[in-house]
Amino acid sequence: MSQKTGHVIGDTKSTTVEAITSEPFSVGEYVTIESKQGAMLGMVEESTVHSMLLSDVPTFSDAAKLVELSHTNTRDKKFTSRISVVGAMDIIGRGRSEIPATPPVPGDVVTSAGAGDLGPVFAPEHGSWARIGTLLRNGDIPVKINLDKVASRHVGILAMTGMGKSNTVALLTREIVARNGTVVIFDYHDDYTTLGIKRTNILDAKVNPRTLGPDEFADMLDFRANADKQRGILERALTSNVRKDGDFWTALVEAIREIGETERNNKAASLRVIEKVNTAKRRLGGMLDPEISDPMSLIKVGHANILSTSEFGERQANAALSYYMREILDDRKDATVSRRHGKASRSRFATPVFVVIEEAHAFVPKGHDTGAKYWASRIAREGRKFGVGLCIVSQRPRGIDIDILSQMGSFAAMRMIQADDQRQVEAAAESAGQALVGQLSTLNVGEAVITGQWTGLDAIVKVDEVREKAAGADQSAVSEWASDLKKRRTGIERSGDMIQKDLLLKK
Amino acid sequence: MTFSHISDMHLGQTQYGSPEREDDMYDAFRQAIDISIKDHVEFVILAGDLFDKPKPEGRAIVTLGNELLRLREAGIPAYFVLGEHDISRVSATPVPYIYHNLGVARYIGDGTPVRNGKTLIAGFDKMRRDEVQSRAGDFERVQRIAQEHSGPSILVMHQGIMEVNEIIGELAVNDLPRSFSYYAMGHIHDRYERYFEHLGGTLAYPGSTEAGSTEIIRETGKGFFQVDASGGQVSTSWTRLDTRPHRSFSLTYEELRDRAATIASQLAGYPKNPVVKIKVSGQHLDMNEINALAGPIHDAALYCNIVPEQSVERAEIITERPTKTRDVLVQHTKKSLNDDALSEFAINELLPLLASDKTGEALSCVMENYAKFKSGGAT
Repeated sequence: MSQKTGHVIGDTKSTTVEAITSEPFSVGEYVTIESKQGAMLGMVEESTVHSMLLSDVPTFSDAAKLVELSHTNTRDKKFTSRISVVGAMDIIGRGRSEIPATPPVPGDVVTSAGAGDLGPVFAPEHGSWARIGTLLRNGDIPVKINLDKVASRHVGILAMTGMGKSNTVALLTREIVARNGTVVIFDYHDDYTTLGIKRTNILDAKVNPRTLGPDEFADMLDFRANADKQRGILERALTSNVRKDGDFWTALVEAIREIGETERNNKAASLRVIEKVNTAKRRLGGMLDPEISDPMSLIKVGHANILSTSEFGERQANAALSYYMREILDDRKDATVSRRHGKASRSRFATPVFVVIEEAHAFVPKGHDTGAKYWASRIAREGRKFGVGLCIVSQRPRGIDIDILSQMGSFAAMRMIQADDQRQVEAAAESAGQALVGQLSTLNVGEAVITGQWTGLDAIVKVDEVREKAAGADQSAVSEWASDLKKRRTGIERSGDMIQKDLLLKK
Repeated sequence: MTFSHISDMHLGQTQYGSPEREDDMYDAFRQAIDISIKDHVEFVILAGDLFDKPKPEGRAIVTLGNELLRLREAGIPAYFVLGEHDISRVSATPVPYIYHNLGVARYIGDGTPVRNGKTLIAGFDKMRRDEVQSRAGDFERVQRIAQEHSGPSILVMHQGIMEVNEIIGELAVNDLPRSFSYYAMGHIHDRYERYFEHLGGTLAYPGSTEAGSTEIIRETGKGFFQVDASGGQVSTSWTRLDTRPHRSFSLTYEELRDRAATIASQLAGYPKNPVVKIKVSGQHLDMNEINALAGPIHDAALYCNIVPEQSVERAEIITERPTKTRDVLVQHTKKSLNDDALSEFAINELLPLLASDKTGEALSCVMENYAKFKSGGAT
C-alpha cells in the first residue's frame, strides 16, 4: 500500500486538491499530503483512470488495435484522484479537524496514510470510545466511536433492509451495556429477541391505561385520527374517578354509557366507543393492564431492555412508544433537577438512558403528527440536558421527519440506493460531504459511512459483526416447517397404542 | 329401518360419592335399552364412554353385560367404539372387548366397516387431537367404502367437533370422511344435531344419558336419538329419559331467607330427590348462616351445592403516591366507619397501642370508651 504515491497537481484549494498517482487510489481511502506547512490528511473523494488512446476511438475495428497498444504502452494510463483535505495532521491528532489556511502546493507528495497516522485519529485510547469496526479502505485501522456523544447527541442509523442496521444497534447496545448503561429498544418486529448479549431484558410493552393521556388512549383503542367525536367522548369519560376506580374497565364503560344516555347526539358515537373499548380489552388484555402498578419498573438499569411491541398494531405501538418516551424523559428530568438541587430523587433512572426507535419512519413520520413523534422530538431537543440519548433506525430515511432527523448529532448510513433517501441523509447530516453520501449506493453489507460528532473524522467503516446476535433475524420458514413436522411426528401419542387388541376375537 | 344412537353412559360414575347417583347412571341406560326393545329398533349404536373409568367396578361391567344380553335376546345387535374414558392411559386390554368376544355386542372402533343388513357401519375409537392429521389415510379409506355403498351408511366416532364446541373440538367437519348418511357422535354431553352440506349427512350428538361430573348442575334434559334411515333422507327423533331432576337457583341472601321453605317443599314434590345448586349473592356472606337457612333445601335434595358470591365494595386504586399517607388513612377510616368521632378514636388512640403490641392497654381503652358510650358519653 505504501508503494502507491502521487503528486498534487493543478490548481489547489484548502479544501480539495487533485493528484496524479502511480496507481489508482480507492475512494474513501485516507492519504497524507506532505506539505511544507506540515503533513495534512486527506480523503480520496473521486478516483479516475484515463487512457489517451482509448478516449476517442473512431470505430470498432480501430478499438481492437488501440486496446493492444494501450496494454503494452505503460505511459498511456493516467491515474488522478480528487482528494478532500481533512486537516493538518498534528491538529487532527488532538481530535479536531482544521482546514489549513493555505492550500497544499502543486508537487507535494501524496501517499497512503499508515496506521501511525490514522490510529490516534480514529481510535483514541479513552474509556468513552468504543470500537465499531475498521476503516474500509485502510483495513488495519480500527475505528472507534464516542459513546458520550451517542448518549447525549443522538444517532441516526439509516440503511436499506438487510444491510446491517440492527447489527450496528446491537453493537452500540453491547458497548453501552458493557459500561453499565441503560438501553431501551422499541422492537416492533421482534428483531432483537435473539440479541443474546449479556444482561438483556426482554419484556412485552405493557401500559397501564389509567396513566395514559386521552389521545394516547384513543390511539391504543385504534380510533382513527379524525374520529373527533369518539375521541371527545373518551376524553370526557376518562375522569379522575374512572382512573381511580378499582374496576377500571367497567367504570370506563359506565362513564361512556352515561354520556351516551344523557346526550342524545352522542348516543351512537358512545356505543361505538364502548365497542372499541371492549375489543381493545379483549385483544390487548395482556398489554393494556389496569392492574400493573408501574410498567416502567420492569425496565432494568444497566441492561439492554428489549421492549417488544410486535403484538401491537402500528397506531397502538405508537401510543406505547409515546407513553414510554414520556415517562423516560420525565424521569430523567426529575433526576437531573433533583441532582442539581442536591436533593434525593425517587427517579428510576439515576444515569443516562439510550432509547432506540426501530422503524422510525412509522413512528416519527414526515407529514403527520403522532404522539411518539412529539416525544421523540422532545427527547431530540432536550435529551442532551437530561441525559436521554435517542437512536433513530430506519430503512426509509425519506419518510422520517427532517426536523427530528437533523437533531441527530451522528449518523451511520449504510447502503442506500434511492436518490430520495440519499438526499434526506445529506440534508440531515450536515457534516457528511456530498462525496461521502454519493458512496452510499456502492457499499456492501456491513459497510457504513460514519459521520458526525461521535467520530473524530468521517469515515467509511467495515462494521464489526456482533456475534451474539443470531445472524439473519429473518426466520427461515422452510427449516421451521420441517422442524415443526418432526416435532409433531415424534410427540404424537396415539390412543390406539393404549389399546391391546391381542385378546379381541376375530368375528 | 330405525336404530338407536346412545352415547356417554359413563356407567360406574358415582357423583357426590352417592350410591343413588351410581344407580342413576345404570337406570338411565336401562331406560334407553327398554325403549329401544319396545320400539323394535334394528340395532343399537353406543358411541363411546360406555364406562366412566378404564377399569370399571364389577357392578358397572355386569350391568352393561345384562343390558346387552337383553338386546341380543330381543334380536337387536349392538355396535360400539371406545371413548377416552374406556381407554387406559397405559397400554391395556379394554374391558368392553369382553362383550365382543362373548357375542353380545360388536366392536367397530378399528376402522373396519361392517354391514347390518343394507346398512354400512364404520367406526373409530377416540383419537387424540395430535394424531387426527395422521389418520387422513384411514378416513379416505372409509370414505371410499361409503361412496361405493348403495344403502344407508353410518360413521361412529367419539370426538369433539370444532364447529360444535371449539374448546373441546379435536377436528373440524372438513377433516371428517364424507358421504356417510349419518354421523353418530359421542363425547360432547349436550345434545346437538345438524346437517352439513360438506359431509352430505347429519352429524348428531345425543348427549350423555345422565349428567356427568364435568357438567355443571343445571336444568337440562338427557336422552338418546332414534334414527330413521330407511328413506333416502335420515330423520331423527330424540327421546328424553326420566332422569333425576337437576335444579339451579340464583338468589340473594334475603331471597334465600324468604324462599327457602317454599323451594324445599317444591323440591320435595319430585319423585326422586333432586340435585340442587344455589348461588347466593350478597355482602358479608357467612357460610354457617347460609347453610342454616338452606337446611330445609338440604333435606329435600339428594345433593345441594351452595355457591356464595360475595359482592365486594369496589376498591379504589391510587395511581400516585399520596404526599401525606396519614390523610389517606384518615379519609379511608372515616369512609369505612362512617363516623368522624369513632375514626378519630380508632386512629389516634387505638392504632398506636395496637401497632406497638400493647393489646392489654388497647382492650382497657376500648372498655373505657364503651363505658363512656353506655353512660351517654361522647362516642
